Amino acid sequence: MTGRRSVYSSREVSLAFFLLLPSLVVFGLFVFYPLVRTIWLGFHESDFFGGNRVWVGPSQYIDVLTSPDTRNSLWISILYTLLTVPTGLAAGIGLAVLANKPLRGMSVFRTIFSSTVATSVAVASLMFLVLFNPSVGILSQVLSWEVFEHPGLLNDPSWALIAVSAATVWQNLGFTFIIVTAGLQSIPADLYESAQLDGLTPARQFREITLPLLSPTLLFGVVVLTIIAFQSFGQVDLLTQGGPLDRTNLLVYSIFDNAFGPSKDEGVASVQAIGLFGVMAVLSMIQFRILDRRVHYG
Amino acid sequence: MPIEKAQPTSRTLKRLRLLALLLTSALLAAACGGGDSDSDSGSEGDESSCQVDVLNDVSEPVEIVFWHAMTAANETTINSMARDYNSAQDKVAVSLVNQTSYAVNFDTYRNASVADRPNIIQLEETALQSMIDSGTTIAVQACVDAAGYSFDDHLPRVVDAFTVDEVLWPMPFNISNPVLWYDGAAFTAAGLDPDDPPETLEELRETAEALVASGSAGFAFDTSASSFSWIVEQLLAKAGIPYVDTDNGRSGAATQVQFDSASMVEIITFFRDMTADGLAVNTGSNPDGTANFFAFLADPPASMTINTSAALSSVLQQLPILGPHLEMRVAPLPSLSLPDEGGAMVGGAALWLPAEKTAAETAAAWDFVRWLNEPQQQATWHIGSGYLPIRRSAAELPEVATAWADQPAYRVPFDQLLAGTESVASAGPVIGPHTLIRDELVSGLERVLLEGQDPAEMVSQFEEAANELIADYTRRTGG
Amino acid sequence: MARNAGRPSSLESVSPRGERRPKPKRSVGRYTLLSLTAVTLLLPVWVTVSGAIQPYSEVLDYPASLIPWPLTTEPIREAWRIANLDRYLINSAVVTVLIMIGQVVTSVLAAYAFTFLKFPYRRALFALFIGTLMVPTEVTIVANFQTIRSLGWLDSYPGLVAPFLAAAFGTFLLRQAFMSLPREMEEAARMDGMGHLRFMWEVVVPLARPAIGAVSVFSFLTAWNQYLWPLIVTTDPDMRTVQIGLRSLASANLDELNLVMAGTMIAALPIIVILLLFQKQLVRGLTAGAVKG
Repeated sequence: MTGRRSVYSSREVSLAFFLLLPSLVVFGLFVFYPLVRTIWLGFHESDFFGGNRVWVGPSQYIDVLTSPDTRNSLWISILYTLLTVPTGLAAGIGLAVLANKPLRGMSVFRTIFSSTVATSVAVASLMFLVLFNPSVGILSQVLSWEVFEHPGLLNDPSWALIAVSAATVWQNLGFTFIIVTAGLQSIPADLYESAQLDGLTPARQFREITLPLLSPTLLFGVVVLTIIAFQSFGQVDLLTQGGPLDRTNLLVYSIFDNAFGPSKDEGVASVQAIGLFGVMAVLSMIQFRILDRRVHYG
Repeated sequence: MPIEKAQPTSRTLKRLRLLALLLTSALLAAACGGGDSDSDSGSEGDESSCQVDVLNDVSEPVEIVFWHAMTAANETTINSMARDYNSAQDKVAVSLVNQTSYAVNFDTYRNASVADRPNIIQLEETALQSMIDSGTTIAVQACVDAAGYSFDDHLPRVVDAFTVDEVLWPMPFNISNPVLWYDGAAFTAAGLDPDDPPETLEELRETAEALVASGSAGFAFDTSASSFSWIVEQLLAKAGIPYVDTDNGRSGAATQVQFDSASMVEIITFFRDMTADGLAVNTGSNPDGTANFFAFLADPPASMTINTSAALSSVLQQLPILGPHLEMRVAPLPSLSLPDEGGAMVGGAALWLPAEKTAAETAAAWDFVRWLNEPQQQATWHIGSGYLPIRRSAAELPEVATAWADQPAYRVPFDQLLAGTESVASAGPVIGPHTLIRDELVSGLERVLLEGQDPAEMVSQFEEAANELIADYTRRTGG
Repeated sequence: MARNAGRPSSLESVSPRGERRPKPKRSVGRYTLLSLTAVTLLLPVWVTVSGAIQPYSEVLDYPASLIPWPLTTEPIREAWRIANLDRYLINSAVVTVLIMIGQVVTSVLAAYAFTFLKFPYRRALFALFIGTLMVPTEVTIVANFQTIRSLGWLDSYPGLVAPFLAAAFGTFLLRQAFMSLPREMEEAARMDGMGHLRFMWEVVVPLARPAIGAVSVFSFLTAWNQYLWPLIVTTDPDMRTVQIGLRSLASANLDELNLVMAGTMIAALPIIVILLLFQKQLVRGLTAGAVKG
């Protein structure tokens, strides 16, 4: 804004202090303090009621971060990201391109396509729970495909994660549709006009104009969807509880289960949480770089 | 920016220092604030603090909270019983909170602050060791002694199940048994005698073969820890085989699993072969194996399952609407190939009294759990749920006799619990990480069913994992 | 605030410019494709709704039918009766509105300080704010749960709300919006002898209304959809939010899935209505950062 000399008005400084104070108190109490405390808890072991906490030292970090369970959860989270992000974006692009014509009644389709943004993870997951249910589910009865029969997709080690991912992609579709549509809108129309004059087929127009100019949007989408994927919890909690054979035991579900479930192992959960923090830190830095470059109001 | 003063003042600096101080102290507090007041587990269980008499002196009803895990018909019944209790006397007002499952109930209890804990909590037998070690509860024995209460009329196995070192910890309440459920109509259609259900796993297989030949899907089972692993424990108990060492964990803390490996392999192999040969439907992991009943409504329908007797009222109430063509019957749990040298152990749950409540609240909680154990209440509860009447005089009440004549299924689990020999096996195992071991067993089952692991290999892997869980438990509880 | 040409202000206005009306033949194909896609997309919704409006015996009947018949309101009334849904919806509404107001207020204040005030360590503090994006709730649940428990805030609105009363994302977006306001305004305000607080309240906030609207709807949606935190800090059915209420309904009634479907439908309706009303702000909030401005 103005000069870089370090001259401050005391009134401005004190006003700034009071304006920032509410946020700082909240962040201090619920972000920075718990982060440090989580690191500290990672050095400890407690009993099954969270009491009798004893120091076990840094070895717990090494043990937990290299344990088969944590490695499995990290791997499942990565697989889940790979299953949800590209498909989610591709579906979003498909819908957005499909709906990107000035036809009558298009607003109805746009509203339908963006509607899943209004479904929470609980609503979306329960809809799919019913859909996948071998007893009442439509899939098992209409499509007589064996994987839909008992014990059903959600109990099948090779299908459970795909089923959970399907619910996630569906739930995120509204969001991806909205951002891709916005991205399409930002592409100058005269590019298409001159392309048409040059006789480019729609397929080539898509490849040579739409995709390249959409890339900032897609990059944003990839990062946000990846962050969402690594934070996912509700789908697993409602659909599979991490099973079968831990094939859907996402990192956050594993943290939750260790911290609040039958093994109630706060130390282990804390170490895993710090691991998740590492992943999130990298992702957020990428996200912020994108945000910083792209967001301009006005 | 237009208006600026030239110098930072000392006040500004002070504020900044204050800000920095605030943030740093927040961070430091994280590291130093280790000595928690937020979570506690006392060192020893408190057995001596139940003054049952204080209730005589209260002028207003003592309000107590009861966390339960009953659903469907069972929830309706427990709710109406609590209303009856509240209106029948003016010393205690109990309010019920449904935590939807034993697992959620236990997790919630362990995560709650002391003040948020209820006055009564319903937990299944798997919580026994862990609750004792937590030191967060009063042993009901203290109230029993103070009130001079007698268990002479109770079924011995019910009281034994919750007694460790001669101390009764929770008050028994809802006791169930696994039974064989089958569709009599399907039996008839397959040329089988509905009055002669299979009594061993071998006969179960032969029956399933006949059923499948006549268009049934055969036997339905699930891979849920709360259902499948419990049934496995029951099959072993019926054969008289203890699950863990130290007399099934009753003469000291268990140190390792000690079931007969060959019998475990027999059980796992049975389920694998039944599935592989198209004689059984695996309904997967679902709470308490509820989906097994829905398999009776599928096409082709299942015609047999093993499930808890606690579902009796819920299933029989829904049947006329959902499956009027079914003729649902129950029979005792089939046996292994070994002779029955033990007896089916109790399943279900008991009522714990958390500590650190006022004397009046504890007395009120005792009064309610005592009331639930009265013969009349046990009869009401039995008929409204399918859980067993846990005392003989309750089973002799006319309404129970009528119900049994009307629906013989209700009697089967009761007779089953009286049959067999009392032993540490039929009393059931006491294991600290009991639920974790149950989880481990169904993981093993899933490896066998879904990934083709060899049952013998699975059982030895399971034994190793279970022993490791016991060792972890012992270390973490400071043993 | 200058109108952003590239940013759709609502889905309705999202329409490409400069394209001629397509030929009718091609649009028939497109309508078919659009309709098929829409039907597929709505299938889970349809299954849920049809399950909620027919008797359970019909839902279980083989083979399943996609046409619900006979119709009944019984599952909806039963789900409403047993599941405490009214209480859950009220809890969710209270928690969501408190979080939304809290976040908007703290974000406006902080963004104002970062934009219009000069103070030492401004950049460092701003980086600290942005740094909180790296620490999502999932990372700190164990410690935050303990904090809330020692404060005695389990099963209470403060426990559900307090950790979310500040938002780095909101602060960041509002700062961007404030920075784009014309400089002259600030100077004119100073000339008139306007103080900072008045300038903020009377000039900045009204001018940044679109951005504030976007932040509000965004935080509303996030707060309403919260799942993990309310699951952990509520044990009392009277304090559950609607998401967690649905979870309890589902786990207690897996044998009566039509009640689960009815509950799901009831829980989804209010938010769909609200988002239809505030579509414009929602699109703005979600696309912040997606599109080059």
